[in-house]
Amino acid sequence: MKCILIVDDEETFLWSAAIGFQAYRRHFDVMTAENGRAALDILEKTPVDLVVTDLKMPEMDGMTLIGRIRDNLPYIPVIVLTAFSTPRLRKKLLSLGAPAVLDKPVSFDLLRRRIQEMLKKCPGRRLRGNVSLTDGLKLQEVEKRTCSLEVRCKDRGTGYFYFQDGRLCEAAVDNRTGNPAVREMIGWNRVRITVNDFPAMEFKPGITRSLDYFIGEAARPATDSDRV
Amino acid sequence: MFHSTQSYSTLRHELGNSVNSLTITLEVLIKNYDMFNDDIKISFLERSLEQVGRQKKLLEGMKLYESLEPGEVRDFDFHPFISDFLETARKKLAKEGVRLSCSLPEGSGAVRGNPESLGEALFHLVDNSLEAMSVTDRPRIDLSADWKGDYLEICLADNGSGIPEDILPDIFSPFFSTREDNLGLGLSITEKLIRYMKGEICAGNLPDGGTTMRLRLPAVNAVPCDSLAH
Repeated sequence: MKCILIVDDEETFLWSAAIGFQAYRRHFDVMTAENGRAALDILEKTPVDLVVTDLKMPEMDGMTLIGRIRDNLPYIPVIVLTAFSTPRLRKKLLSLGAPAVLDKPVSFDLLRRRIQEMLKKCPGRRLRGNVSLTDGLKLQEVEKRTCSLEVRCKDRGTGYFYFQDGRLCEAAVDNRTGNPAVREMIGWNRVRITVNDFPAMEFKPGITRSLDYFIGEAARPATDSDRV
Repeated sequence: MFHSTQSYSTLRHELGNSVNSLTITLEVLIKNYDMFNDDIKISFLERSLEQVGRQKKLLEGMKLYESLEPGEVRDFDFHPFISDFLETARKKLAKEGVRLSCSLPEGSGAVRGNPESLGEALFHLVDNSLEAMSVTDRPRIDLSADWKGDYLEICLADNGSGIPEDILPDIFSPFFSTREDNLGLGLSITEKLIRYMKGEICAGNLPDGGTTMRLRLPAVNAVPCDSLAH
């Protein structure tokens, strides 16, 4: 049985959602927590398959919770449910590998659909062998995948590439997204790549060039005119 | 209506959360209506009404702030005004166990404004201090006033918890509050009243803890006061 954890400081929302999801208990169980700290307590003790979290909460906010999940339980997907999404916030979430954002108010059916879609996705899988970053990226393009690639480089940190139907549509590392993030990461060597499938998202594409363009660009000396 | 994006953000957040709770609550009730017994149906409806009440409170707050009309601006003597204010404030604060001390300028003088609006503004500041001193051992408010050239400066200092530096720029924004049970209108109403009287207000933290609110009003025959930032 799958288990989801809904984290929000809106008590009535938690109460109603928990009762509403009882009709779907053949598919998943629901646990609730009123802030990030309470959620971490549950995550320490209970196996959870998906976290749905608000951002602005007392004690520990959602952003901190997502950071902790990324560091300690990176295989758990996260859906962010917020009344206050902004482009800046979405950028920050992309850089934490959490691209699934739902704006409040959300309908019960949409929330349920997103939860079930996320639960269906396969757990993250590591690309084995000496797969270079460019090969890993090209593979997603050829296979027309909708997924994220978490790329860990010992000396450089962690970044994310996002593919929609095989098209590289977004990337994020540190505070950078879009083309600058691709340029930052495309030259990384000796990386560990984890592929995470996720349902189709409504991405506002941040990448304005093809994957081949960036690979070609990285392979030749840069000129000012290239930096578009 | 509002003078900062902070107010818009706060309202969006508050309304978004409440409308979300209301939406989910009503949808779950409708989907399961035939399966729920009467008690649980009532619980769902009561919770829905709570959310409507929360939204109504926000709307009333918006209306209150928007329709706030300070009284007619005129010249009035400061000393009789502040004596009346102190008498009322002292009674209010005594009930709360708060000591009030004051330091007033000698001699007479008049300011330009509206005494009722100034009184309301000062009481909002007192209420704000009371909240900040809720866990202070020996709560104290020091009120001082002085003529500073073309204006009168009033300072109200408390020994409460102070205001985190990162939120200082936002505290006069409507609906900005650090407390769940507070709509966050008191300081914004104060700022609006003072601004209407061609005055200024600013807030700062004291080195030993606590907050000071400093406001300036034009003295009679004076030009509008210089910026408090100077």
